[in-house]
This record gives sequence, C-alpha cells and structure tokens, in this order.
Amino acid sequence: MSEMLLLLVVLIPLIGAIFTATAKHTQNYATNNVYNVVVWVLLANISLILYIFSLIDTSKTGIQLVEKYNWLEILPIDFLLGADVFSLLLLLGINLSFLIAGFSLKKYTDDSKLLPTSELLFIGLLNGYMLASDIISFYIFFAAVSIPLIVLISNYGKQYKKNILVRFSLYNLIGALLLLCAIIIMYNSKSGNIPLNTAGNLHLRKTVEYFVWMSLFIAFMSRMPIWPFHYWISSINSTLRNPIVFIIGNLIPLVGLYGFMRFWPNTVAESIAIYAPLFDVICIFTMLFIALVSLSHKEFRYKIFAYTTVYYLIYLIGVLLPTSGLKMNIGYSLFSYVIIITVLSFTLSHIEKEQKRLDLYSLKGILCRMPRASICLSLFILAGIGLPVTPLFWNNFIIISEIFNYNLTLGILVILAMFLVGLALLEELYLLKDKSSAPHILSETKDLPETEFFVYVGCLIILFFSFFKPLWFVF
Amino acid sequence: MQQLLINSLPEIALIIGVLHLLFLYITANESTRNYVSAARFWLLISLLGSIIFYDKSLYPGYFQNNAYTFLWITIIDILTYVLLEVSASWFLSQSKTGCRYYMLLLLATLNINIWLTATDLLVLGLSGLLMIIINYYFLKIDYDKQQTQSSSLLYIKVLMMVFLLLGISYAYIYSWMGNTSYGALKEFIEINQSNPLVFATFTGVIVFFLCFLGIAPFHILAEEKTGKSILPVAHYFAIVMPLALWGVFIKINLIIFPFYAPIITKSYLIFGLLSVIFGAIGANARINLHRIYAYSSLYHFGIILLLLSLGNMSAIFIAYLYLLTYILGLNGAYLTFYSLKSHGEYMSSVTALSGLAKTRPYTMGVLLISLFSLMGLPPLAGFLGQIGFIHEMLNTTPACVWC
Repeated sequence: MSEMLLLLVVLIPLIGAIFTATAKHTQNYATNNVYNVVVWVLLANISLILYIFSLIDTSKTGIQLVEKYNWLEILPIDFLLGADVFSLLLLLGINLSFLIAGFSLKKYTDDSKLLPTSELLFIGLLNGYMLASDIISFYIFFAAVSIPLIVLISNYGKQYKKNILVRFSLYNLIGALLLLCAIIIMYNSKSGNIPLNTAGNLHLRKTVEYFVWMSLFIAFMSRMPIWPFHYWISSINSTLRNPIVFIIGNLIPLVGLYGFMRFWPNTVAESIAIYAPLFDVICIFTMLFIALVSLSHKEFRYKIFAYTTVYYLIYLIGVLLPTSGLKMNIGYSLFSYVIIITVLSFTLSHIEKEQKRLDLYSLKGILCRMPRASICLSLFILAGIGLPVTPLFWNNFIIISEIFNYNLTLGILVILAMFLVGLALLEELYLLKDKSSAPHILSETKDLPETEFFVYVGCLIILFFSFFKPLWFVF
Repeated sequence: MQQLLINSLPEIALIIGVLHLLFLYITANESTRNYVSAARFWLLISLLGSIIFYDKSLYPGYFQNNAYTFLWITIIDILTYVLLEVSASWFLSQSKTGCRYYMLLLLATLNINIWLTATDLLVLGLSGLLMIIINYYFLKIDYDKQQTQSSSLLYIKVLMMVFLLLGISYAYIYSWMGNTSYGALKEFIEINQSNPLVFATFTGVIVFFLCFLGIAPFHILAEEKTGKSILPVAHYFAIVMPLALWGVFIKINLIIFPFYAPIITKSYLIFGLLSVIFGAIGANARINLHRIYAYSSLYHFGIILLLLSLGNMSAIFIAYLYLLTYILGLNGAYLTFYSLKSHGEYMSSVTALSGLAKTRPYTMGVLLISLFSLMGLPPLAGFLGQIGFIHEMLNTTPACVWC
C-alpha cells in the first residue's frame, strides 16, 4: 500500500468526482452528499500529502518516492510518479486552498453538481500533473487539466462566453498539441518514455532541438497570462463571478509555471537557454501593462487577477534566471500565494453577493458594516503585497534581490509592476472601508459567517507559522 | 452440406431475421417492440455464430473468416445491436413501426459480413452493389416524403457511376486471367505491375472505396448521408457503414499496396490532407450537429488515410485503433441525440444544446466525454488514436503532424 501513495493522491479526488457526479439529485444533495464528499476527499488528500512529507528527506532537492506503473505495452509506455519537496508543497497549497473553498462550497454551488464534480476532477488532474515524473504522463495531465475549466466556463460564463471558450480552447489545445509533438520527438529519440529530469540529456539535431524546446515553451506560455496568450485568462476573470471557478481559472497559470520550473534551468538545452532574456522582456511588458490597466480598472476582481498575473510572472522571471537556487523560495512563496488568493476571492465573493442581495450600485464603504470581512480582506491584501507575516515576504525578497543581481533594470521594472498592482489593491481596500461613502442601507449587510472567518484566521495562522519555518508541519 | 450450414450460421440467422420481420409485417403484427425484439434476437444469434465459428467460412474459395474479419464483424454486430436498442425509442416517439428500417439493418449486417469475408473481387463487387442499393433504401426512409428524396437519388447516381469503375476493373481482370480471387490478384499484379492498364484497373477499385467513404475530393455525399436523413439512419451512416467500409478497404490495401506503394503513398497523402482540411473547415461552418459530425468524419477519415499512406503494419494498427476510438466517441455523441427531444421533435441544431447541462446533466456529461474523446484529449480513448497518429507521422513524415 505504501508504494501507491502518490497514485492515491491522484485517484482519491477522481473517485470523489465520480461520487459527486452520480449523487442523487435532490434538493439537499449539496449539504448531505456532495459537500461531504468534497470536504472529506480534500481532508484525506491533505493527510496523505502530510504523511508523504514525513517519508521524504526534505533536505534533498531531487525527485523521491518514485512509483512506476505499466500502461501501454505496444508503444511501450510506463508511467512514473514522483515527488520532491517543491511539488509536495504546491500540492499541499492547492489542496488546502480547495479545502478552504470546500467550507464555502454550499453558498456557491447553486442547484448543480457540476461545480463540485469539476472541482474534484481538476484537483485530481492537477495533483497528477504535479506528481508526473515522465514526459508522457506529464503531457497527459497537462492536456487533461484544462477539461474541467472548459466545462465550467461553458456553464458559468456570462457574456461573450462563446468567444472566451473558443479562445481558451484554441490556445490550450494548440499548446497541448505542440507539447505532444515535442514529447513524441523526445520519446522517439530514446525509443521509450523518459524521466522528466533527463529530458535535457537528449542528443537531437539542432533544428529538431529548437522545435522541441520552442514547442515546450509555447505550450507552457499558452497556460500563462503572458502576452500574446493573456486574453483568455483576463476574459475569464472579468466574466466568471463564482469564486471556485475563479480559483480554478487562476490555478491554470500555475500549470504553465510548473512546466517551466520542471524544464528550466537544469533540463533545458544550452542553445535554448540563451533566449531567456526574450522571455523576460515579454514578462515585463505584460506585467507593466496589466498593472497599469488594474490601476484604472474599477472591478476589484480584475485587480486581484492583475495581482496574480504580476506575481506569477515574477516567479516566471525567477525561474528563468540562470540559477537553480531559487526553486524552493518560489515553492514557499507559491504555497502562501495560493492560499492568499483563495481567501481574497472568497471574501470578495461574499461582499459581491451582499451587493447583489442589497441591490447596491457600488461597493464603497461596505466593509464598515462587515468587520469580519474587513479584517480578513485587510490582512490578506497586506499579506499579499508584502506584510512580513507570511513566507511570501522573505521568499519574494530573495527572488527579487536575485533579479536585481541579474539585471538592475529588470529589477526596477519588476518592483514598479509590484508597486502599481499593490497600489491598485490598497486603493480598492480604502474605497471599501471609506466611511464617508457608506450608504445607510448597509445596516442590513450580513457579515462574513463565523465559520468562514475562523477558517480564514486559521489560514493566517498557517501562513504565520510558515513565516518562521516553511516546513513546520513536517516532523 | 451440414458443415456448410453450420459455418454459415451467422449469415443464415440474419436471413431468417429478415424473413421473420417480413412475416410479422405480412401478418399485420405491426409493433416496434416486436420488430426490435425479433431483429435483436437474430442479430445475437448471428453474433454468437460469428464468435463460435470465427475461423470457419461459407465457401472457402470465395469467403475466408479469420481473426481480422472476426474482429470487425464482432464490433459491427455490437454497434448494430446498440443501434437497434436506441432506434426503437425514436420510432415509438414518431408513432412509426420502423419495419423497413430493421429489415434493412439486418440486410446491411448480412451484406457487411459477406463483404468483409469475401476473398474474390466478384463477391466484393456484388456485395458492394447490394450495399449501395440497401443504403439507397435507407436514405429513402423519410416520413416527410420531401427531405431525403434528392439525397437518396444523388447517392445512388453517384455511387452507381463509381460502381461502374469497379465493374470495368472486374471485367478487365476477368478477361485477362479468368480468376478474380485475391490470391490470384496478388500474383497477377506481381507479374504485371509495370502495365499501366493493370494499375488503372486497381485505381478504379480504390476510387470506388474512396468515394464510398466520402474522402475528399470525393466527399460530395459527406453531408447528404447524415445531414438530411432521419436520426437512426444518420446514426447507421455515421457508425456502422464507415466501420465496414474501412474494414474492407484496409483488407484490399493489404493486397494492392505493396506493389504500388510509391504512387499510393502520395495519393493517400494528398487525399488525406485534403480531407483533413475540408473536414476541419466544413465542420466549423455548420450549425446542424449531424452535418458537423459529417465533416468531423471527413477530418478523421483523412487522418486514417494519412496513416494508411505510410503502408507499414504498425501504421495500419494505429489506423485501426484510431478508427475504433473515433467510432466509440462518435457513437457516444450520437446516443445523446436520442435524448435531445423537445415538444416531440428531435433537435439537431447546436443551439439546441444551450441549457442542456441544467435540464439533462447526464446527457450533457456523455456528450462532453464523447466530444473530448473525439478531440483526442487525455485521459480519454481518443487520445490513444491521437498519440499513435502523431507518433507514426513524426517517425516518417514530420510535416504531416500539423494537420
């Protein structure tokens, strides 16, 4: 049984998805069946991940606990699943954020089982992607992880849904196809499936090598909010109001970032690595553009999206730096970052729900009547932009100092983008807390429920512990 | 004689099935349930016979059963069974008995058995002719008496013209060697492969199949078959017919291909690429779901032809895998059409799908899974075909992968 732990991390949510999809469709199904399944699946997964943490050596950086499964004998293809501290940390962050989402799931599932089913499907596939240790299974999970979001956009999208869906599918499918081509060339060059960490040792002809690596990077870029692929994600974030769908949409870029992390800098061929500055320029251009747009944009959700974009791209620049020492810092940052985004998204959704219920024209001053929501939003926005109580603070500090070390101009532009996006969030926070704008109707406003509030405070405690010791939960 | 009867049990069961349906019709026992039960029973007997006597043949000189034919016949029988099951609800909702449809379906299955097991060009040609006639009558099933008249006429006109090519080819080969069994054909081509007339003869055979399959640029009938016909007929044309045609076509290719590989490779490559392009563009320009699937078939058949153009056994195996996963995916999509009913009318437009997730979540789930499989997304079956196709293409012709 202990040899199948990683497989279980992938399978448990998928089995949960089958349960939720086939649950009896009654009025109370959400509370009685689906809701319980989601929460228990996530709790089981988190426990499993913590147990796996206790089995591995956290001082080592390479992939450990490799599991091998036979799949196709005719090609032949064996699946390799493996975990390192970085991937486990991300897995823990993702599963934890969906557990937080699980506690609020009841409010946002409307009358459909689609959302919890897609959520569990997404978690299972994302877990598989993070644990994949060979090129074929890496591709399979990479391509499959977009399926739940396609389903959710088609169901929860509002205006321009069709256009968004077409663009999202187009970018993602082209990306996936390019990745498949690259991976099959790699597979053919060795006449077999190869582990991810040895992908750079292949001896390919120059033109083929260029094709393979460019395909890989275009595939990863297609999942990130990076020019010229940024359109789909900004459209999703400005039209999808459901917080769980918002989180899923915001975790898709993590798929691209993780792809870069797995192949760069150790695995990528030297002839391709020289193009890293080009990626840096594109990242900076996108970051500044989105940060500036967020300043003038009136929607809070767009500002959160701008924040996530800028930070994802900072991590990408960190990955592209000619050093492998930042990997763990990026991992620690991402762990906090995913949790912060989740709490921000859910708190904002609660506020938006109240706005809709009370038929308010503007959100200005609404936090004056919502003390719990106000505390959560303030603390998590401050934590997001650099309050020194979470690991985001000092890990970002290290990443940015490395960027400065590498190129001063690049560092200044990164700081500028961070400043602009931080300013946009603080401006919005100020408006939400502005007493002079609070209309009298706000006396009927319902504050964040106590359960949710305590869950969010619990998240803050987790982040606080991680500030002092990132892997404090490993014994 | 006794052995002959036993060996031909699958075919005899289907003939009895047709007679049984005819008897029910004559005795005015007109009920969809009766027709379906009778057709189902005889189809199962036929399938059982095919499984038990999988390597026994009717007339070994003209027919040959082996593992290859057994595989195709079994899959086709299973899909026909599914068709029988689901079409009943359609006929019941339209207050029709569907007697003609079920008789034609059993006849088509019988003919497909003969077609697949044939080892003689004469049998192949005659069963091809019979197939055209059966399909013509399938297309004529139209309760509005308007819609499919033009389609069925066009179908029989075009295919009869193409059948002439097959007839001429047969006449030429027969006049030359007096024997048209596949074994003799092989020897004949080997000796006369440089003769342009012999090549033209076999081109006629191949063009007949390409037309029948609707491969571009012979795709004039691609939309007509499934776009205008009633749902159970469209289902038959989309699932059962292509499977049978590919089964026979691949078999013919295994005989002819080795001798004309350089020319066939190039022709298949061009036709395959054309089908892929026309299929992809055509599907995007339609809103009727049946027509979209018709063009999607054109695209997928193009892929299969590209695989066949490689001419090696592993490519043929991948082509088979691709076809099977494609047919399974498409069958799933077609099954959902039987649920798309509003005010007694079966919907066929893309707009009919809006809000389906709310009203029929399971139908939508099946449709989504089928569509994702058709797109080749992992971890669904269609991915196996896609990975196999790209793997084969990258191994041989890297440029083709872009389609």
